[in-house]
Amino acid sequence: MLHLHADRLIELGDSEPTNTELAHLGTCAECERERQAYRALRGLAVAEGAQLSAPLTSWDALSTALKEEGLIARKPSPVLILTPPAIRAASRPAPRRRQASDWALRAAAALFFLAGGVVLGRGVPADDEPRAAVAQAAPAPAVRTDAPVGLASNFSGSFTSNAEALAALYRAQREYERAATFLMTNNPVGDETQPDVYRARLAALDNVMQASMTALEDAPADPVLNRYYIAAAGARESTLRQLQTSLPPGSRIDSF
Amino acid sequence: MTADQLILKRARDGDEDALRSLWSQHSPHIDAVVRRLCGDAELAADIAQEVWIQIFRALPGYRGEAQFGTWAHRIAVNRTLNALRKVRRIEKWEVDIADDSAATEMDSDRGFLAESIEEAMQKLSPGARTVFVLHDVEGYTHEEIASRLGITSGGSKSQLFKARAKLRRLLAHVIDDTWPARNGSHVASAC
Repeated sequence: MLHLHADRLIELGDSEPTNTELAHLGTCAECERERQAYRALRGLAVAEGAQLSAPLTSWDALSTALKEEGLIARKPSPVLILTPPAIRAASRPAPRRRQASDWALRAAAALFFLAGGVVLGRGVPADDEPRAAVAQAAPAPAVRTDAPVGLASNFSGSFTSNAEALAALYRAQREYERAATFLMTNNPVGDETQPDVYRARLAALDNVMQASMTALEDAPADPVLNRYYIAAAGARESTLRQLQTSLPPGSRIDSF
Repeated sequence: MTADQLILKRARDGDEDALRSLWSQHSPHIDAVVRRLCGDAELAADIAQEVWIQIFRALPGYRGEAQFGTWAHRIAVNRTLNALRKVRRIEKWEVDIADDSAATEMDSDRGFLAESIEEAMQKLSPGARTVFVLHDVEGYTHEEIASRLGITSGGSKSQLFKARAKLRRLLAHVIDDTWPARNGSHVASAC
């Protein structure tokens, strides 16, 4: 039998032979070798498709062009980016010095976080049943001095990896945000109904927001700082609403 | 809303950090296809920047029907082909198609063996490389290639066969180390 046509052998690199062709390939080593060669070539091509390339452009050059096009906003907003740490690590490896800085910022965020909890938790009575339940479930919202129990115990050296510690931190933040929202939206007690209390809280929250905003200028994509900023902004907005309702009818907020 | 969706939302709003995040996450794939289609590092670098600008320019139109990477990849291919056309590299390939014949193309690299498929692809004519990359590497069909390049699917197939035959020869030592390659042509003769 004649050899298979050259073009047909090339085609068989990614298609199946007919029965007749198969019978021939079973007896003709030369055609079978060519067929296998083209299949191997196809395999190389597919593998090439999975190859990655070093970036052909630099971000500096690209961002300049994007700014000229108006595709980058003039002043980037530091609000919630939430790039997962794993993606960040893979996509934008940070130099060692910057990584150390990130950890320092995270530590600072944790301190802000605890301080904010103290501010927001001030004045909440321990014998209040619903609040006590929230405080137990939520490690972060500080109720007097024993609030960050869960967080503190997790920081005592029981973590086995950075990822585990960060995950705990995120969980604690979420709990904190839930608890803070609960405390502010569920019937504030005692002196908290007084405008002065809300004003003091607003001033404290402004300080917290200012501090986190300053930190975000250095690390705009840091998820911990972003979450903290968002939480403080939400608390501030909620407090503003409460202050508004605590004022005498006809009054409005000019300052606090 | 997932973290990726948030990044895309911020990127649409022009947030530089979000745009940079998309670029750093996807440029290894996007730039690779640009590099393969161009076959020339310097030209690829110029075109890659245009490609990314086009991706970000088109971002408001991205509706999430496909993965962002897939969507951006499509833009990268189209934009690169347009750019290649502009620099008149495609014209050479269109001449190749018009002059398509069974004759083996002139080969000044006879005897040359490539170390890798990437190196071997650079020895292909622009037209053959474009079709080979689109079909065998990127997975486009002949119909899709034909519509993007303004040729017939038969022309696409013809270029693919030329490319495979030449690559088979250039990479003979890699894919067939027991028998010498036969210049990419398999003459129909008796066994």
